[in-house]
Order: sequence, then structure tokens, then C-alpha cells
Amino acid sequence: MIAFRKAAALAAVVGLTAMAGCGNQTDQGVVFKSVLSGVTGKNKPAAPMTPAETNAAIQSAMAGTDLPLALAQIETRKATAVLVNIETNGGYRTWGTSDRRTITTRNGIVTATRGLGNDIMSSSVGGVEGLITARKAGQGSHALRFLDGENHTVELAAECQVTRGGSARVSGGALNDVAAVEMRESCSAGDQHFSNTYLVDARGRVLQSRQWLGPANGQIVLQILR
Amino acid sequence: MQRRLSAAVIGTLTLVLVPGPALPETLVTKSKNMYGTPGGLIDMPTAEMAPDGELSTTMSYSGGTTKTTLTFQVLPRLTGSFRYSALKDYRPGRGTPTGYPNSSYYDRSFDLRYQLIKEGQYRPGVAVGLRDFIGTGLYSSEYVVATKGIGSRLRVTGGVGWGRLGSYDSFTTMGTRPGGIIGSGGVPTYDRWFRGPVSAFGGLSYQINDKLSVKAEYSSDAYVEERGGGQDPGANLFSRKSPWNFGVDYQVSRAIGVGAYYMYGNTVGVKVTFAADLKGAPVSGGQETAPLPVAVRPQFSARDLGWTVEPGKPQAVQGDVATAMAKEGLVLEGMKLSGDSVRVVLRNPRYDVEAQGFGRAARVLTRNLPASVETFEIVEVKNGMPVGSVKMSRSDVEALENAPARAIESRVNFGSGLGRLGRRDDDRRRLSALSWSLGPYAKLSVFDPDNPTKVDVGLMLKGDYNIAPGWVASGALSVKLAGNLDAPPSGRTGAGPGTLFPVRSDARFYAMGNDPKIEYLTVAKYARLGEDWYGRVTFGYLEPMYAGVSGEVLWKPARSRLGLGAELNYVAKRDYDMLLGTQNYDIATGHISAYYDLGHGFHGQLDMGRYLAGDWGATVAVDREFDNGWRVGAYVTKTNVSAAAFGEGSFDKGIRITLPLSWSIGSPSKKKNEVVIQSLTRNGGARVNVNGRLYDMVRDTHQPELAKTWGRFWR
Repeated sequence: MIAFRKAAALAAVVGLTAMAGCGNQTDQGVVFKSVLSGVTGKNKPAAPMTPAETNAAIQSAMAGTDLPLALAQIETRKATAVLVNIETNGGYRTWGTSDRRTITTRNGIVTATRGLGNDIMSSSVGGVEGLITARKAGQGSHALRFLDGENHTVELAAECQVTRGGSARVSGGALNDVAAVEMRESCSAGDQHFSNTYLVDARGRVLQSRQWLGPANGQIVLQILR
Repeated sequence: MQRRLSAAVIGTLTLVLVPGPALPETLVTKSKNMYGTPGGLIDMPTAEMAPDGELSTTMSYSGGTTKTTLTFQVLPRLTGSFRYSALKDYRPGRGTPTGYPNSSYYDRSFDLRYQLIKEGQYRPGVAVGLRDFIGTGLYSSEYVVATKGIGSRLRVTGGVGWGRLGSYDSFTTMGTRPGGIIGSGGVPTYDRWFRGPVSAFGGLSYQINDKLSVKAEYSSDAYVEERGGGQDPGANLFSRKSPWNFGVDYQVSRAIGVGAYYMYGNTVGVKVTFAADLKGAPVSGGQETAPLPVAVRPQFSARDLGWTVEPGKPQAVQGDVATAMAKEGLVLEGMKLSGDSVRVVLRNPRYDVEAQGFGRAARVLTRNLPASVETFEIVEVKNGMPVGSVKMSRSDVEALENAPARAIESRVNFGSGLGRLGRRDDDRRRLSALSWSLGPYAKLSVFDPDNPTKVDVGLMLKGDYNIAPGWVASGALSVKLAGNLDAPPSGRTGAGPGTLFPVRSDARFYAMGNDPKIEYLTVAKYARLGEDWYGRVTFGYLEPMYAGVSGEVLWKPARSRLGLGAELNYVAKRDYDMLLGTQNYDIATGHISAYYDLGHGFHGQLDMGRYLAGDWGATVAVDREFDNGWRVGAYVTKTNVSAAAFGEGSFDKGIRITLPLSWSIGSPSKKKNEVVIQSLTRNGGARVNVNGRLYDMVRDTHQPELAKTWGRFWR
């Protein structure tokens, strides 16, 4: 599959490149598409959904499935998507979008993403999840693991302060004016600081949250719809 | 490959992921000088280094000279550069019968720099460098230079130089510096190093902010050649009125830097640099869509073997698996299912990081196999031959999906995949799949001594057809639409092509005409010869210039960093029209090879044997390999022909760069671009190019390579 290989050694550099074209190989055209989207701006973030459009998307998703649903907004991308709980593995729930991006949570805390680029590959949240779901202040560790540019796992091991904030009420989707407490988590790992907030109800469910996905993807807002 | 993030790594991570301020590292700079080597001054070197693993191209222009320089930071303290310069109206030997015939003089040069002493709190960093240390030596010079940062913004440099850098206002002389060329050129000019007049140079650079820096320097280069004092008495590229140069550098983005300078009291210099951090990636981990998550079996379901007696059930399961694999870009070639285990045989045409292909396959299996199947063996095949396997328990896949990747890595058994394929009965269709492509191509020749760029463009039709397991027919047909690869040489003097049979030096005749040409047309058989053994035989039109038969055997245990191989070829030279005929030249060639992963990102290869012109010798190659697919390396071939018989360049050598497409587009792809910059195409030390050599085919699916990027198993 070397498209640009050493060919007749005519002079200093001789290469052979197959650029765009047609064929029946699986990645045929990927370069072309990538170049094209650069030209047409197809990969640029779409215009943010209006509240009316968001509501329509929620309504249609709730009508279309009985599975648990959530709404996600990634602030740096100005992207909004309805997530469906497509799989559960032990305490981990994986939520997927229609365009095959996923987010995995444990007790409402994001532990992994896939398909966003610069994904969180896995997390250790055992040090803080108990505090957050019990709505108790305290201190604990929270580690995020990423891949670097050479596909090596790099770990961001943070120490976090969990504090209890004011009370709030959450509505949206199937949730109607549910009482919750705002829990704040402030984390530091060397020079890197990040913070997350969670609205947690009396049963320990994280109904709504604003969480950090890493230096590249910034903050995500997640809201449980059902 | 787990690495705890230190503050420095977090800084790098931040730098890779979001634009941020650079870390205050000692004597590291993104600036390049007019020579395209790392340094904050203009024409003079410093002791600074580029960030480790940076590959850059710098184009600079001043006083009638254009320099294009490719620089690689081989190690944190070692830099290597290749430079191609064009000097307008510079004609060595002007007025004599052997005078240079072209309007621009093209010169190629290599530099090496090493930082001997790291900068301390009070001690400056010290580097030693060789400019243009191989070949004709137009820029030949050596230097020892010290640079000290004062505060975080100012850097002060002072040094002494020989050769060009000792040509202005020298303060002493160390012996005599010979001017001639050793042998037929192309060998290190060690007889000159650190000899002749010695001059002092120095300068200051000041970083105003992250992007902008200013600099001033005192140059010890008298520009004798450009001003008619050297090989071309008529040269008058510019006049030198002052030893002082001043300028400004601006870092436009992480990748692009520009500079403008007022030089030698009467001329302006400009420069642009494009740099890539090969340790980083535009999108770390890729932006391809998510995998299907693991499906966990319901409790107590694992003992249910009822499905094994259901008529048609195993076949139905295989169909489901094949369909699900196809959605992940994987091709199921065979499957052997029993009550508690499965062996699947896959082709992976999509994921360049093989661990990711295995990870996606494992998740597909959790979603499609009956609950009683506990052991997964996933075998990858290439050209119908097993090239590696991973074996794991389904319970581990279920339990460790959300754990760090090293957890599942420690539970996996890595193997070679040898064993019965368990081929699906209904797979004849899948197996005999024809894969083809039709598209434009470009054959490029850059940095040729006669011409900076030559190119042919045209259309190419390529196809592979799997005749039977391990049997592959391949062909490529090309039609040139336009180009100048067949342009005759300029008549430039030099030691010439030597006295060997023209096994490669007549390549331009193969580029003539616009008729369809057969690039290659072969039938190959790949087979496993044992647990650690692989074999290949290829027959037909192997490459544009040679046809014949090529056989290869490789020994490469699945968990070993060492591979040993042997190759034998009997080939005839093809006709220039690249159709079916051959010329009256045939030869048996062959090599024994050793391949070794040296660790720390370096890989070495040694080939010994007989080359195309019948010469005997050895090739040594060392590459720095990045775990995202980038490779930058160099090779040297020395055979038993004299420098005179070899011709200009004395022996074959070159640098080679592999650029993975997946890195640029941020999604998996097995396509890669390989660029070879050969010193000169001569006939000594030449080898047959045959597709499907075994080592690169086999290595990626073996444990040492898989382990490097295992973090991608769950991606």
C-alpha cells in the first residue's frame, strides 16, 4: 500500500504517487475528500443549533427510541448532539451520536470519548465519583489518559478538590424541575488546571454537567434527557 | 508505553493540542538561518538546536543564491541537513573548454552539527559543526561555536570558523587547507577539516515576543567564490561592503517562520521555513469515527452451548461477523468456530496502526459471537499469508474496555498466526477479490545536479488479484501525459557515470515517449515456511527496468526485534519501451540481510551481497522511526568497485523519508509517501526493486511493533 514508492532511480529523488482517482479499495478517495473538505470548508464547525432546532432534535430522538438519552454541547466546536445510551459495561455507559462519535461515562462522569480527535482514551475517577454522587466535599484523584502524536499513552494525573455549591433545579427532556445540588470539582496536574461542575439529584444521579475533555476539546455540557 | 505526564510533557501536550507559549528549554530554537540549519543568527551558526524530531525545509535567497535546505533534528543534540543551492550566473571554469555550461550552478551539500556541551547556568552551550562536508565543497567550512542565553530573551553567540567561515579577517592559520576533491567526489572531505585560516564570528538574537525576534551578527565569510576570487573568475553575484548583518524573524504559525535581513552592507536576504514536529500529530489519536463498544454477555450465559447444535447457526454467525468487520474496514478471510473458542483470519486494509485493527476486531467479536465462545484468536493475513496474531480471553476484553490499554496488553498472547486458516467455504468470492485503482500519478525527481525539479505526470491503472491463498497477481500500467524526466543531462563536467554497465544510469530512456508502459506485472507466491519463517517468490516484470524471478526467505520470530533474511534474484534488463521485451543483460543478484530494532526509535539494516552490476558489497541503513509512521533515515552502499569505476560520487548513499498519509489527514490509512534523495544515480551498489519484500510486511503485526502503539487498541 505504498502509493509513493521508490521507482526507477532516475535521479536524486524519484517517487511515484497515486493521488486522487477511482478504484475499489476501501480508503480510495480519502485523500481527495480530505483535500476537498479543506477547500469547501465542509469540515468547519456547523452553525450552532438554535434552541428551536435543539428542541426539535430532542423531541424526535425521544420519539424514536426508548433508550436513555442525553444532550451534549461541545463549546469549542459549537456542536450540539443528542446522545443515545448504546451500550453498558459494568458501571460504564457509552453514549453515541448518529454520526458515530461516542462518550463514555461512569456515574455521570466522562471517562472516555471516541471520534472527537484528541480523545480521552480512559480515566480513573474512583477518587472523586463517590464524593460527587454523595454530594460531599472532599479531595480525590482523577486521571485522564490520552494518546500523544506517536500513539503513546500519556496520563494526566490530577488531584481534585470537590466542593458543594448551591441548590438548583433541572428541567429538560423527561426531567421536569428536579431538585439538585451543584458539585464543583477543581483539579490540578502540574501546570494544567481544569474544573468540572455537576448537578446531582438526591439519588446521586448527575443530571447535568459541564466537564473538561482535555486541552484540545475543552468543555462539554452534558444533560440527561431520559 | 504508559508514560506519566511530567510538567514538561504536559507542556508539550498543550503545545501540540492548542497553541501556547513555548517552554523555556535550553538553547532550543525554531529559527533557521540562511543555511536552513537551526540557529537564531543570519549567515553564521549558533550552538542552538531545533526541537527533537523536527523536520524542516527552509528556502532562502540573497545575492543571487537560492538555498533549499532540508534539516532533521536526529537527536536532541545532533542535526543533519541536506542543501540544494542555485547560484545565478556562477560558472566554475568560465572561459575554459570545461567551463560549467548552465546559467545557474546547482550545488548539493550536507551538514552535521553536534552540541558538545549543554548550556549551564553560567556555562554557554558549545556546538561543533561541519558545513558541506561531502562532495565538491562550495560551502565547505567547520566551526566551533558557543551560545549563552542571558535571561529568557537574549542569546549571545561567539565562535571560530575554518574554510568559508575563516575567509574574512582571519586571526591565525592552522596548516594548509587543500582545495581538490577526494577520489571522484562524494566522500567526506576530511583532509580539509579544521585547516587553514581561522576567523572569529559572533552575534546577538533577541526574542521580542513569542513570534518576533531581531538579530545582528558579524560575519567571517568573505564570499570569495561569489565575488570572482574562486573557481569562477567572472563571478559577480554581489559585492560585500560590510561584515555586519541585521534582521528580523517572524514565526507566523507553529509550522511557518519567515525572516528578512539586511546583509553585507548592500543586499537583502529573505527566508521562509516550513517545519513539522514528527513526534506530534495534527490530530493526536486520529479523528476517525468511534468503534463499536464491547457488548458484555449476560451473567451465567457463557455455559449455553445450545447454539452449536442449531442447524446453520455457525454459518449465520460467520456471516454476521464478516458484515460487522466490513463496517470497521476489516475483511474476514476465514473463521474457525468451536463451542468455546474462535480463530478469525482477517485482512486489515485500513488501520496503519495494527493494534487498532486488532482492537476493533475484538469488539466486533464480542457483539456477534455466542456467549459460550471465550477465547479469541485474531490472525492477520497479508497476501494470503498469516503475519501475526493476538489471542485473548473474552472476559478480559469485557472487563478491561475502560481500563488503561496496558491492562489488556499484559493479558494478550502475541503470536505469528501460523496454523490452519479455517477458511470459510463461501469465501472463494472474497478471496479472489480484485482490487484496482485508476488515477493520476506524478514521478518526481528533485535536487538533481542538473536540474532542481523534473517531473512526469500521467495516468496509472493498478490492480491486484488473489488467485488462490498466497498467490497474488499484480500489475500496473502507466501512460505519461507530460513531463521532462527524459531530459538529457546538461553536459556538466564531473567524474561522469563510471565504467560499469549502465544498470541504472540510463533510467531516462525508460521515461521517453507517451505510449503505455508496464510498470510491473508479476505473479507472486507468499507462504509460511515454519513458525518463524516466511517465504516469497515473485515472477515477471518486477519493476520498470528489470524482469525476472525473485525469491526471498525471512526468519522473524513474532516476539523478536531481530529479523534475518536472504534474497536471490535472476533478472534481465527490460527494453526501454517498458513493454514485454528484454535487453541483452542478465544477472543473478542476491543479499543476506539483518534487520534490528535498535530501540529508542532507531532501526538498523545491513544487507550484504551482489548488486545489479555484478559488484559485491554491503549496504548499511539507519532510520529514526516515529510511532506515527514517520521515518527519516540514511543509507550507504559500498561495493568492490573503485571510485573511478563508480563515477561521480564514489559510492552510493542517500537519505530517505517516509511520510504516513494517516498523519496528514488525521484518520487511519496504510498509504505512505516515500522519498529517497540519492546522492547521484550511478551503477554501483544498485538493487532490484521488487514489491512485497517480507520484512516490512511482517514486522508491523509482531509484538515489538504492536507494543509501541498498543494504546490504540481501544481507539
